[in-house]
Amino acid sequence: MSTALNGQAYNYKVVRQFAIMTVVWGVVGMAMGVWIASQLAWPQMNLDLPWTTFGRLRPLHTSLVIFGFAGSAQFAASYYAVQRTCGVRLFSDKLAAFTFWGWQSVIVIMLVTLPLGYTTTKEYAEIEFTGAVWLTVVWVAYAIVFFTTVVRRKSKHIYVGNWFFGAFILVIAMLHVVNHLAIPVDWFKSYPVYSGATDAMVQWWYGHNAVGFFLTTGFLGMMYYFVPKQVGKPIYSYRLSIVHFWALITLYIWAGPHHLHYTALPDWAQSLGMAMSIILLAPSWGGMINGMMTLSGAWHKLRTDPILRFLVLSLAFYGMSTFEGPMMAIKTVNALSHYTDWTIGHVHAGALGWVAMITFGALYHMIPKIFGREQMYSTPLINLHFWLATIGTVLYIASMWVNGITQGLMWRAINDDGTLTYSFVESLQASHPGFVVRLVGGVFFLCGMLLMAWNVWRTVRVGDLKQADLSARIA
Amino acid sequence: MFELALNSAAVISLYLAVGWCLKHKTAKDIDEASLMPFADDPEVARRVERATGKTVNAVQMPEAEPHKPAWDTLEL
Repeated sequence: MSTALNGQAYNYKVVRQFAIMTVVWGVVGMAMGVWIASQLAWPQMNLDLPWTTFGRLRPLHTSLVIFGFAGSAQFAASYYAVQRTCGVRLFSDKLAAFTFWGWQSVIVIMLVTLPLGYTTTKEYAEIEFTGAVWLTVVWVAYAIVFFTTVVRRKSKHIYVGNWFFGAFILVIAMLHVVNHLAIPVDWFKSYPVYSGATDAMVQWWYGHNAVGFFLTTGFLGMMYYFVPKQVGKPIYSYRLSIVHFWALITLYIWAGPHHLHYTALPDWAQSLGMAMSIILLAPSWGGMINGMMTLSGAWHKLRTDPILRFLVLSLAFYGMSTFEGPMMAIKTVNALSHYTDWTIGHVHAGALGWVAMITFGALYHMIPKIFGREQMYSTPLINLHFWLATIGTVLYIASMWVNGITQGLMWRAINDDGTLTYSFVESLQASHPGFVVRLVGGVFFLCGMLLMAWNVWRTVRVGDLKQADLSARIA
Repeated sequence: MFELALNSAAVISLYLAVGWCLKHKTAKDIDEASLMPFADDPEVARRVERATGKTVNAVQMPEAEPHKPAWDTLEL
């Protein structure tokens, strides 16, 4: 082993801040999800107030969990991993601190403006003009901090996880700016420069890549660092990880049109989106296999390590979702599934099963290290969280599958004379039990999240920042 | 015909991009790259060396900076 002295330590402060806010927004965002699930089962839960109607709270839920929970997790994990794999402190403490406070202010803007009804109406891009511009400013700062750290690295090679983080940062910037191009008429009112089918295409190019890059590519960067670290073995195949990276980013960007099957979007675009979505199965599963096979020779660790259980199950759900997605992207399948709860089930298989679980695993790994503890306050609580999250996810997905197929079949059923067999209300009535089971699943998941918040609080409040600083020494 | 050419160009570009990334990478280089997550903690590096039989190019850690609270940042 060689020795190299470096007077600097890692910047763990910003990582700590983002890690805590990941948990906070996780609780708030998932609680919002449980509330809106109850509204679909019992409309009285809308409370007859404009600010608490489903129409306004649903985008708030998606914004809080994607940008608040997943976004903060991404910042924490990328800032942690990039420093440690580059062997240098994060570039510019001030700019890194700006990204933290800036990002939290973006979430607060969403928290305030969305219930007030200020919305672009574009899914996962509801934040109105001024908020969107501010988000861009914060994101550019993030890019500067991240890429300057990589440029200043001590190691010659850029670890594959950093390629995933870097791609995530650059592509999200492009998606956000292009989709939000609009003429503002007020601070929080604007009109998109696109219209009609063009607008729909741009929106779903963005929308699918919000999933593909924000919720997948970035989290694969997380996976490539935290799975090997938790297992204590290198990734199964580094060559495969490079192939996985290039194939994934090449293909994912094309998948958007599968949201617009049998709409006014030109047929050639629909077919292109479908074809690319199916081919996308290959790199997605390549990544899943790479992560899973890292446990070769270490599967026994699953018996005693609940953090590893989260990481491995997240990969299993990733595999499941990235199989389900291409199947649903097939036009004939989509003719049944589009607009049904099956789409919601698919989204949450990915969001709860993959994104949330890999985040939990990464945070449970990181938090003791950045707060100067040997381990989390309670390992049995991590295990209990694991089971609550798993049961919750399974209940959610299964109920939405049943609802989705029921809805699709009922909507498409026609009598011999060509009239519809069922009214829309009849399909709603048939969906009600599924809405209740989904709510129960969501409650399970939220309970797990609350347990995590308690466990993190108990760990952090006796955290030894001096010990954390000692372990933040750069090699 | 044009679409075929475009599609072929995309596949070839992907192949070349991956090839460029893996260019000059010996098996040793690839191995070293995969061990990067363990390189900054000698204790972990030793465990991984024992588990895998591979050498981790870990480095010794210097003393940490003293913890400096700042007026404008949240202290956790």
